[in-house]
Amino acid sequence: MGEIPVIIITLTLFIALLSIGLHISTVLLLSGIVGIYLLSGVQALTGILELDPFNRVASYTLTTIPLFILMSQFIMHADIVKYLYSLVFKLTRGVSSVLGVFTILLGGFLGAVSGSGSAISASLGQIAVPELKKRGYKEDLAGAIAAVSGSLSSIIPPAIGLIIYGALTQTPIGDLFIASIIPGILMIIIFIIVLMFLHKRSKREVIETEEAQSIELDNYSAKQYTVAILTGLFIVGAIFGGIYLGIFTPTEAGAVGAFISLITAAILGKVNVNFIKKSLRSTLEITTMVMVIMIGAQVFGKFISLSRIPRKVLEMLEPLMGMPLLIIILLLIIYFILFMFLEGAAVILMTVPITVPLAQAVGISPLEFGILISAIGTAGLLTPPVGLCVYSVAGVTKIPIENLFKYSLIFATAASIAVPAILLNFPELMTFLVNNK
Amino acid sequence: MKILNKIDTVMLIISGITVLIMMLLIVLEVMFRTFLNISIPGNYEFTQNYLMPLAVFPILSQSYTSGILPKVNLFIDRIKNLEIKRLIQLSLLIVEIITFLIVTYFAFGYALKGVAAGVSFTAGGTLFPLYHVLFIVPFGFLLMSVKGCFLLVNMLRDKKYIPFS
Amino acid sequence: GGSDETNSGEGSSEKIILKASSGVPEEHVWFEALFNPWMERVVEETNGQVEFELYSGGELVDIGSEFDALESGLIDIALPVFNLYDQKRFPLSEVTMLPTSESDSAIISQAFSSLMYDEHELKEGKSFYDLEFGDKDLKVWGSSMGEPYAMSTTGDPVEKLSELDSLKLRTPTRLTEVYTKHLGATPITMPQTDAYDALSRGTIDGNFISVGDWKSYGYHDLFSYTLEGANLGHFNAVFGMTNEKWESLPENVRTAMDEAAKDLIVDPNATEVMMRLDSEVRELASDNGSVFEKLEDKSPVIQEAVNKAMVETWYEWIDRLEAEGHPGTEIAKLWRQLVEENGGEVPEGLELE
Ligand code: NA
Ligand code: NA
Repeated sequence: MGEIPVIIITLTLFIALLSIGLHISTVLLLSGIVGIYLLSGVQALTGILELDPFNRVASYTLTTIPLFILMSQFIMHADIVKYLYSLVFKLTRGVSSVLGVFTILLGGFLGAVSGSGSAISASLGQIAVPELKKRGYKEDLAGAIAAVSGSLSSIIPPAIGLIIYGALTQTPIGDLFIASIIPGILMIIIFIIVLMFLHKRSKREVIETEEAQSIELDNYSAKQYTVAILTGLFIVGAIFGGIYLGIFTPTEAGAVGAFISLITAAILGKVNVNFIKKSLRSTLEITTMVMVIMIGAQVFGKFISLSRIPRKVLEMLEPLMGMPLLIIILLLIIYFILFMFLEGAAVILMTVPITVPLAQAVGISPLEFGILISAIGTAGLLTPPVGLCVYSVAGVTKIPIENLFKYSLIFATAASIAVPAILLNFPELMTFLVNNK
Repeated sequence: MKILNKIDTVMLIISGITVLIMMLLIVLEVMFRTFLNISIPGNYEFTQNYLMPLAVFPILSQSYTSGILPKVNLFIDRIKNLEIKRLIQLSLLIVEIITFLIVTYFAFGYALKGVAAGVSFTAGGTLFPLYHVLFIVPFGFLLMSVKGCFLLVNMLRDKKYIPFS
Repeated sequence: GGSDETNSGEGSSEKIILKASSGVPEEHVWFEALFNPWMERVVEETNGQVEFELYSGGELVDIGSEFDALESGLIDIALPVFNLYDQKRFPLSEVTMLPTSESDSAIISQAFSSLMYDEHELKEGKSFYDLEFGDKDLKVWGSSMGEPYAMSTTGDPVEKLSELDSLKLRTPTRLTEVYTKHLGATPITMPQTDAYDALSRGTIDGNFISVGDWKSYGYHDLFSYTLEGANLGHFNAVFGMTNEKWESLPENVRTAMDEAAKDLIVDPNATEVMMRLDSEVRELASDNGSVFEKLEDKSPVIQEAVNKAMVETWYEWIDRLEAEGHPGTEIAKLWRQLVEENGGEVPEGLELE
């Protein structure tokens, strides 16, 4: 069969299976299988299905997913986060938008110790969503905030995408990390602005908010608050301190964080058989959910790679080289679309050899281009149909995906337009810190 | 279903202990490196090749039936006719079982090849076998298909039963 | 499906489309030095009869899975097969990772070419190529070899034994791990993607890597010290296809491929590309104050300790291969001979019998 019909058939199948309610992991897996088979036959399918499930899972770097989730389970089951949210809510005299901001900032902090957006989103989905809901947030928006907060980890260093990009383009990874700091903060600010706007609107929609607020005025003791703050500070301090003093790597931070949280919970007297069992069960379920989606995304990604869609589309751009601004806008739009369908690392591996020379030809340095892609890639974790951070939240909260995407897509679109627009107008935001390090 | 619950418990124990071992191993590695200036030989390779697959694949089927795997409900929620809804659910279940069986088939074939070739990895300077671990992949997916079949049987027997909702 | 219909038997002039996959990106020096020239020559000499459909950067096949991908038919050509990452299947290939005191890209490319293509019997009338690749139904060629792996650290030049002992070094290969152990330092294994962070924060003190590869990982801003003359081997790889695929290709295509590959491995342009990268990085790093020191300029105590660790690495490797039933001693002797014949030197005090 020709390539174009196969691509059409496979993408149609993908959309159809997705909308009819098949599990997303199976949608990715099955349309990948069908596409690869139609395109390249059973041999190619054998090569991919034999290797990919195992290769995807057997990775040291990915230990951060189960261990980071384990850490958040221990923290959550020790009630620390519950107290913290209640405290922030009290201190701000019930201004509920602050809690959303608090969640996004928390996501930013967690992003600085972990490279896995899915793991953070899943954790925040469990920890933050119930707290936000209790204090007047529409459930769908609360879920989207968790996803958005988690996605930040892919622009806030350390970020795997930037490392892969750096190795591919021979751009110093340290420079990429430093250059992404201000854009990362910019992204946080834009997310916060969108949040304020959406929260205001959704509050008007949800009339019961007033009741929800008055019912939920939980009062914990001063001692509980103190303990929560101290233990929270201790855990965060130990993880950050450990990473920045070079005692452990960000990959190892998941294990160390989980261990410290377990000890802390034990000191607080929360640990018993049930605590361990509950924590482990959720950890494993969430981890497996993330991993099985990643396996599916990998197989589907191989189909896209075999179809050579990204390469063909980029070849079509070459005649437009005379119009630099148009080229760069088109490139960013193409990336937005690719990140909608594919996992971040796959997009970078597949396209960067072609796009970086294009970008350089129109005057964008590899360093700047890497940051721009990485901003769009962060948004890609939030866009349908393949939005890993949104899937994670949907999995743990049971909030319908389409409701989450409705909000997360607004965050993603706003960030994808605003961040590149600002960065392209003021490139110093990316280069300033690097030039003055 | 009783046997399935037992299997679930065993798998939970296997994967749960694996995650705890993973945590302790990495913590020990960090502590040894920091205080004693030594590294646990093979820590990296064992974690990657043994512990990660053991933490994920055995528990796969439990995640599947727990309803945590996300899906889009927009369309199915709008269908008011229970019969049609059931029919769609039934077909989706069959599609899933087939998909899992396809993966099981290929992963099993690969594990067999692995045995024939004696696939191994090196850690701390020595070769360690990898081929047993390769069987965890088809096992995990097979268990998912088996669970899917049980759900299917339940659906056919109990006319109102709809899984994952 | 793609390639099945298009690749036909001998004498046909139908277009042959070959799916070629690489675990490294197209920016990698191998493409400039070897793969691109090889593909261009094959296309040219077959008058466009052969066309390569390239998948790079591991987008289709992960590094280390090339053999399985070739066998299953997912791809036609691997650029390259990472034989060093599959030590169970390719146990002898690791010989080029044995430490040397004097060697460079040109010397080792000559030595490797001879190891691959000349008839040196190792065991039961079989050569290195037969044992390693022919028996596995592969048709492969050797890649151009880069500059040696060297120990680089973020600290000051090592002057005392105690300073050497206290180093925490990332060991990317089995033999660098063995060497580090014999040196008395601490070998650490971690993903290459974690190493930048770990080095910059002092989680580890150093890494073994060829100087030309520094830029790929941003190390030229980090490393302040490199010890040379203790070369921790040269990374090799092979590229090619299964025998089955090979035999399905017409004679003229096979000739073009074979000649191009055998010319290019020792082509001065290819080694120049590999060495140019090395001197570029050296210049850049030296400007940042990075120090490159020769082993022969160090104190006798350090020289002795490093030499001993290198020699022990050879012995341990040979013992293990022999224990696994491979001709360890034979290939080690052959490799030493080839290195020396081409102007290189093995560590002082190495005795092979
Ligand atoms: Na991050
Ligand atoms: Na997306």
